[in-house]
Amino acid sequence: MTLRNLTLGLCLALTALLGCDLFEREKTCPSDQRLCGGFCKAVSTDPANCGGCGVSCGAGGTCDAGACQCGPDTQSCNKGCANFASDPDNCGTCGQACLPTEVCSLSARADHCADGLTNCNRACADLQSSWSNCGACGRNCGSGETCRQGLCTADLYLACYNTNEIREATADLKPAGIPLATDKGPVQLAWLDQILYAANSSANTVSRALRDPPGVRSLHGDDSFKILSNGGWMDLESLVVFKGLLYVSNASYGTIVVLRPDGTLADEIPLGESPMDSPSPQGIAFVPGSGGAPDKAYVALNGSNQIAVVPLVDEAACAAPPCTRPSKWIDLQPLASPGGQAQPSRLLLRGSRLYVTLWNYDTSGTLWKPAGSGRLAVIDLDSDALDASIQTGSQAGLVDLGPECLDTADMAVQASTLYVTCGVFDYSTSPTSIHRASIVPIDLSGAVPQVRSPVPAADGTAPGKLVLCNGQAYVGDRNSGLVYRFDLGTGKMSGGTELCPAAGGYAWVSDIVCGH
Amino acid sequence: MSRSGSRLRRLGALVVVLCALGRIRAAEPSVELDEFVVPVPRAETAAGPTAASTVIEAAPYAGEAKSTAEILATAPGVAVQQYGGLGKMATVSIRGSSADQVQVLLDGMPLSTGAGGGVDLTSIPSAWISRIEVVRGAEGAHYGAGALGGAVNVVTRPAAAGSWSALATAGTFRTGTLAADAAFGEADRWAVMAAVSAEGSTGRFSFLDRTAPGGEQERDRNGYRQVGGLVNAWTMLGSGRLDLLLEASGGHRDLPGPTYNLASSSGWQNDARTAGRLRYSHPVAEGLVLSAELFTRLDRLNLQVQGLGDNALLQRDLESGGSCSLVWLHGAGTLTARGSVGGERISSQVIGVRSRAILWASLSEELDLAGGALRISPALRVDRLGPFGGLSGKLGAAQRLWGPLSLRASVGRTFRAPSFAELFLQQGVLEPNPDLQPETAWSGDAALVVAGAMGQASAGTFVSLYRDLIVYQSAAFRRVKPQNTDKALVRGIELEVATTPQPRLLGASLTLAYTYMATEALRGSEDVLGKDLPRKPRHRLYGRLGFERGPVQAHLEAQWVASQWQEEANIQPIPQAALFGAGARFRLWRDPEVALNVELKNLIDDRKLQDGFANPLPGRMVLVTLRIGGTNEDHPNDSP
Repeated sequence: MTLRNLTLGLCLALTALLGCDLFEREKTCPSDQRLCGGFCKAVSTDPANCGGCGVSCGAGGTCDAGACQCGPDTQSCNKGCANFASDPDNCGTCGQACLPTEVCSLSARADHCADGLTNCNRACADLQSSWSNCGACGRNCGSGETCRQGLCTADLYLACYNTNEIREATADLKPAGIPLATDKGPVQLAWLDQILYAANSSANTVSRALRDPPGVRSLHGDDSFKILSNGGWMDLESLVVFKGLLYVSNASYGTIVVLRPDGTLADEIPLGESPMDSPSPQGIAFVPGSGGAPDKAYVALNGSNQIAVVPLVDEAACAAPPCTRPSKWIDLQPLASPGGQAQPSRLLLRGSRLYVTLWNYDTSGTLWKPAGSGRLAVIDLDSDALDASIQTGSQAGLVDLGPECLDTADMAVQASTLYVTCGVFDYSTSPTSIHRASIVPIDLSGAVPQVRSPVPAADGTAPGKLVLCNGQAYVGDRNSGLVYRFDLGTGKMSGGTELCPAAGGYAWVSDIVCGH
Repeated sequence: MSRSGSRLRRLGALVVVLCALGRIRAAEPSVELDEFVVPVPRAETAAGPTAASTVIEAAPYAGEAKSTAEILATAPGVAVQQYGGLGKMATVSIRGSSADQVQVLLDGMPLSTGAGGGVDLTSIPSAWISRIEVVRGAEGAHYGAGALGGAVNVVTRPAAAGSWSALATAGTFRTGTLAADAAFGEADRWAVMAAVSAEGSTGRFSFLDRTAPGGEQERDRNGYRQVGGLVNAWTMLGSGRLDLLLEASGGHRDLPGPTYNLASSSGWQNDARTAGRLRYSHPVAEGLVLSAELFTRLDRLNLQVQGLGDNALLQRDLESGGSCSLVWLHGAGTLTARGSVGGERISSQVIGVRSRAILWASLSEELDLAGGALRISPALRVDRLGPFGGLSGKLGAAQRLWGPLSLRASVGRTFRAPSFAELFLQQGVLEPNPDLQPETAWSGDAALVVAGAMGQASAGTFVSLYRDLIVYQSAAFRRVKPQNTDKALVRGIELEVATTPQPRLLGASLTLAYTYMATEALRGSEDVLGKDLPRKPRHRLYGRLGFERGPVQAHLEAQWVASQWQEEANIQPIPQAALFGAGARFRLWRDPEVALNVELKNLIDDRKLQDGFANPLPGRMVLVTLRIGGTNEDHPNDSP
């Protein structure tokens, strides 16, 4: 046997043993998408793949729950969809065509378009509001979107942590648009100059979603703003816009990274005070300065159980970071239950008080568990100290949310009521179970916050992100991928809709922002 | 093409006779000339010519204050991951594997524990090493389940009666080592070698950090200290031979934590390992040798890390067993049958108390055909680790083509059982998965090898396919869980040169090792599919240029690692890194040999150097070593 024959035989044997698909790539798609031509397609909302690969809804059509329908400014006409206000082949009514020299303007044949309208191939459209010519001729908005100021806009934008996507929804919680890919682990969204920025926790990047013509596109991956991480640990926790700059909590490195809208670094603010604990920053809140005093940022340091008070300089003009550092650290550890860690997370400003959610976890054992009920810290912004006018037991600045609230998640305020979402994950069971999940209202109308009766959450859900859009409150779940409407008047949750699909056994709606 | 220890010696050394200037004159009677030995930097592999292997002799590095990890990093296809340098944990990866997928052995004894995570190379004192054998590819058939990327066998100093040595090292950052060994016995009847070592460092070095005041920080609470002992003994018993190996090592290291703190945390780790093996080999007939062996290993770990709670983690892992082997030297080659029965027990707060039986049986052959010009080596092994079982196979071939040129190729398959940690560990955000299945790997490689009077060179290509890789993925809110989700392809080129091109020119010697490795994720979402695997740089290069003239030796070294990615989507890069070193050795006295070594590490004092996990690595270090005595490196009494 010659060596040549031997090696040829080895290669053939290996291929035969393992099969011809030896080196085939296997792409995985989110659970509500399908692989079409090697790409993941949202067959429930994609008008080019509606209900199945390659199924097109045609011009003017949208895809709603996997079925083709006519768009918001179109009507059914001759087995298609037509906009009678501007379609030169169906001007004013189905089948009524304009002459080749005419245009269709405001549902009538005309020699030219009316003022304020643009001639899009003989269809006169208002590019600022036309669903089928939004911002540019021929640019259709997606299902569930409306055209506002020339931009296709959804009512709600969600960060879907598990599938690394930004998804859209209507005000009545129907999926809208087409999912936008972003980097791994989006945790927070923020608007700046009509661009939607996303902080991606597991990639340590900030990506962008652009809605301007020719279409919505996501700038992620190589186009993301990369934030230096601490080696193998990626962890961005918060993204907040203040005075035209993006402030990002870089828990991986214990800093606040300040970015300009183009992604260049304006400043990087170290936050550590104690030598023994990693600061692990999370929520950020800003208080504009007055009377010559500088603006201040308050940062929740989840790892060191503190609030860092950071006087801000002209961050946009910072030449050599760091240009500022914390001037004070407010210790919140005394607010934790015995054996627990305070672990501040989210911040909310109201009047002269800063409200801070506390996880209140016992991290000493192999399984983390609540050390006590969910809690809030209240800080007096005039003194930058725990508010002594609020007492629980002998502890100043402490609000105990009661036994029906474990592991606080988020807050929102409407008028004089503060709402806090809660729910703890019990990892000792398989599958993981959820307990004491609720929304706790707190009356802020008096001098001292008053905790009201909690609204229990549905079984298997853990309310997380809480947001108010146009007077309606929405709650994103941390486990099921559902988004609920929360009626502030009755305190009831309704209409739970899965808007973020599961991956890895759960679905976390990590953020919700209003579209307009 | 038969290989033996004697051939190894012939290829491992060149004897050169020089005419000393001024000592030769016309018409004078002949005189005795000085003789010196110029060792080729790399010896021929002892693992067999069909395997993709490299043997790194420790002797050329004697007195250079190199750690086991630093010596190992000079081989192609090998990547050593440091976690802070200077006595901190270091693990090895081969051909894109993880540390868990490399079988690390000490004189053939597996050191991997059931807890997983790879073997900490720092636990093996470099003062004990005689050589390191690196075998690349799916080597489970020879080295056991777990060797998906390959195997590293650290061979300790043999018991060669009459040899002894002692050394003392002192260096920057209050780094120091003391080591001594001595062997005594009666030639061809018995010998005992005992070695002790102690080392440590404060690890207090400055580094550059962009968030620190003034841009510079000092690494605090970064020390380590380690002690160890080794006993290697043998004796003839009748016509058989009894071998004993005892090893103990342990120490303390500080765990300073992330660098962005203004000062370091108070984490620490204490670890200790004791291991022993007793083996008896006896010829039972012409060409037939039977061996029986008992072994045991105990690892203890006490760990205190911030974020893991207030109590220290206590972990104990005990493995014991016995094995038999039958070696038959027949006319066409060597047939070896082996089998082993044993068990392992681990206990810790986060894993609980777990145990498993470990059983395996193997059959391997080394066939010499075509008058020795062709060697074929098939091997099969069946392993059972608790509930997990599998088959490993390897088929290798080597063909002498012409003169010093030969061609070798191999293909193999093996598996890795999930570790106790992956199956049962529950801590903080980490969730266990008792439903895990083994990982598998297929590998193939081929290379041209030139081995001659001036040294050795090889150029080869390889491909490895890893399936059912265990990766931690999101499992619930704030929880991650290991799952069999990934599939990866690794292809590359390995080049190696070890030569003395101009022994008359200052005794020059050259060692080069280059690895090109292209990795690819074959399963995942759109943002990771087809991307490079994280922390697998495409290029690695090691080079060493040595000189020797009389009592003086000098060397220059360089290591270059190309940029790599921190994560699977290939967004966050880790910049390339280059490390330079130099050293010199001055022989002060011939008999006993007394030598003074000066070693410079990180020659250009790059203080931005990091290990890829944002742990800073030390800047320039100067280490001075005084070494006396010497050990017999001819290995006349190596165990089979």
